[in-house]
Amino acid sequence: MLFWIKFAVKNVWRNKNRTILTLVPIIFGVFLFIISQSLLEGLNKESIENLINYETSSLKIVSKNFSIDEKRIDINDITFIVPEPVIDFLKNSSFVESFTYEIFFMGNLSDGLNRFPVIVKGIDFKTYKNTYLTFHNSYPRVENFKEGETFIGDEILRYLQVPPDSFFVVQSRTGSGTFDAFDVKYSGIISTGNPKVDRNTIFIDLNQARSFLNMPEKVSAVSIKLKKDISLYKFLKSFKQVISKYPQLKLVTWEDFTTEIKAIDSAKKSSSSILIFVILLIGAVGIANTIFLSIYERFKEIGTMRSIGTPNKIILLIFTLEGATIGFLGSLIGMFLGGLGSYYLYKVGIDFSSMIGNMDIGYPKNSLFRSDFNIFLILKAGFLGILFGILASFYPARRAVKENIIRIMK
Amino acid sequence: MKKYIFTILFLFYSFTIFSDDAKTIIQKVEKNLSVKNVIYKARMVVEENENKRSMDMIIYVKNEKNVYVEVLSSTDGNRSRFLKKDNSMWLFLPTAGRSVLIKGHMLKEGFMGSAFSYEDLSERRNLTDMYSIDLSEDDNSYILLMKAKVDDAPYKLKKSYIRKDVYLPYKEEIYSSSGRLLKEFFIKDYEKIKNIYFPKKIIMKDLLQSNNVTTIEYTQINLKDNLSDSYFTKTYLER
Repeated sequence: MLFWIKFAVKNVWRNKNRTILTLVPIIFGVFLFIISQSLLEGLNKESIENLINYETSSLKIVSKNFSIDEKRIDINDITFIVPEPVIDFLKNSSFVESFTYEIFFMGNLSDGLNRFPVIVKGIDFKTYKNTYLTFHNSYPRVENFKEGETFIGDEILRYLQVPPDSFFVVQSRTGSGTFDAFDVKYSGIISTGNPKVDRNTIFIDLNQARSFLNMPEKVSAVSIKLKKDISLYKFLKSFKQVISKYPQLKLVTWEDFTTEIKAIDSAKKSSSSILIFVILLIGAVGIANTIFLSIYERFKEIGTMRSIGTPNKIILLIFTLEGATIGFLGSLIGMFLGGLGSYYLYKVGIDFSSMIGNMDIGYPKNSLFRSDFNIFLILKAGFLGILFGILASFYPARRAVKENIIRIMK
Repeated sequence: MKKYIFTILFLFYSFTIFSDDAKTIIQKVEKNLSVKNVIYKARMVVEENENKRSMDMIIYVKNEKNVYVEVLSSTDGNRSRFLKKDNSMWLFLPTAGRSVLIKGHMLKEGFMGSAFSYEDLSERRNLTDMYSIDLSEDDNSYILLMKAKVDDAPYKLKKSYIRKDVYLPYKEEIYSSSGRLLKEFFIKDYEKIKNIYFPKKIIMKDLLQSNNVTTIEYTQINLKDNLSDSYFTKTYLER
């Protein structure tokens, strides 16, 4: 068997130029497969991290009227008073690292010249910092914040362009629907890398928000961060008994928020897979063509082999192995180049800001994309290249054994 | 002692007169502003930053409760129709081919993208029911300072400048509870029809943006004795 493998590999190099040309689309296809899939995988992973770190935490207690898909918020429908037993449970649970109250509503931020629609989040800065990473890159430190001051996403400031310590007007409706506004001093800037936060959220003190809305003690959500080694399932099981007593409340986990990300991810992966499949198909046609040419050039050699009793399956094997060798070589080079590219994108990333600007790409992610360096993905791409090589050479190889010996020996 | 009793009686008496005066003024203003059976033709111009769009509308109003608005033409191609019947409001979007019930927080949004909210157009409660009113005056106008006395009043604080001659406000200022001026409303022109002073040109300025002005000019006002109910049906809206 080893003899036939060596024989097939040597045959590949009988016509070097043709083989090299055949390799190109396979290399390109495998390279592109690794780069695109690892980028999408990285995007997906970072998006989920951004979601957990800046938007959802591990899970949230919300009103039963809360809907993830409903973009417009009616404050009266979604606010509630947190029952004491729920607070006690969260305080005493060994699974919970921290929890925080939030109240959010839609508003308009104005510097007197421009008006910008924003989500106003009323938070308790101290507990929010323990539950989310939002203020880890804030300036100044969150500990120095006072009521009446606000943290604003850096992307909003790019639009409004006002100096620190300026006053903004936040206009919205109170809980009972009255048109009203309040002043906030812009004292801090946040940059999370999550466009949903950086582009349209401002943070104010929980009590200031409650006082404006005229909703003392009410919250829109309680965000809960679980300890690292605690699974959602484990916590939900322990919390079920407490929360089930309050039918007006429900729990939503970070996984519930990922439906949109998963859908976009799946659509993007499918479309890029189609493109890569086409490239690999071109590669496969190239391999089939190369094997065909090789067979026609070596008709007499094949005839001789068959005349002296070489079994058809060996001839089939030789040509299939030739195709597989081209697929393997192409894949190997593609894997190497793809691996290098993927590693570079994993470490450095690629900035698409000039292409996408402020466009909403559907992911809670800024324009710097990093890939996920995954060795299994690289092996998968290599395997795909070899598979295409084998499949592409199988039909021409069958032609070699189906031909009439007398005709090919003439 | 007599002096104190006299002072208290005087204060009570002057308060009563003062209060009646404010009430009378408001009643006269509301008489002008509360719409009867009317067909208007109007042009609304919405200016926002450097964008400007306009729309020509026909408006049918019957007994305040029923309003039908149809956009006849607009610079952005919008041909929406709007129906307010009793306490319900619908918006018909020809592109979607169906009508949407406007409720809850949607009422707070701008009427067809303007600085007027649906609520501004649909509010039917008397001002005295919603606001506690302080009256003062200068040579040409009464000045009403209105502070919300119910939780769900449309505005926290507003100041209305009423013309003494025609009992129409020529200016209204809307403030936040902290006293910041947020919106300005003007009636620039009016027309007297059968002893009622109709506003002809109204302007709403949103002061949170440097150039956000909505102007409505009534080009035709036809006061009718009666209007057919068929205009105020969903069938007519969705026709």
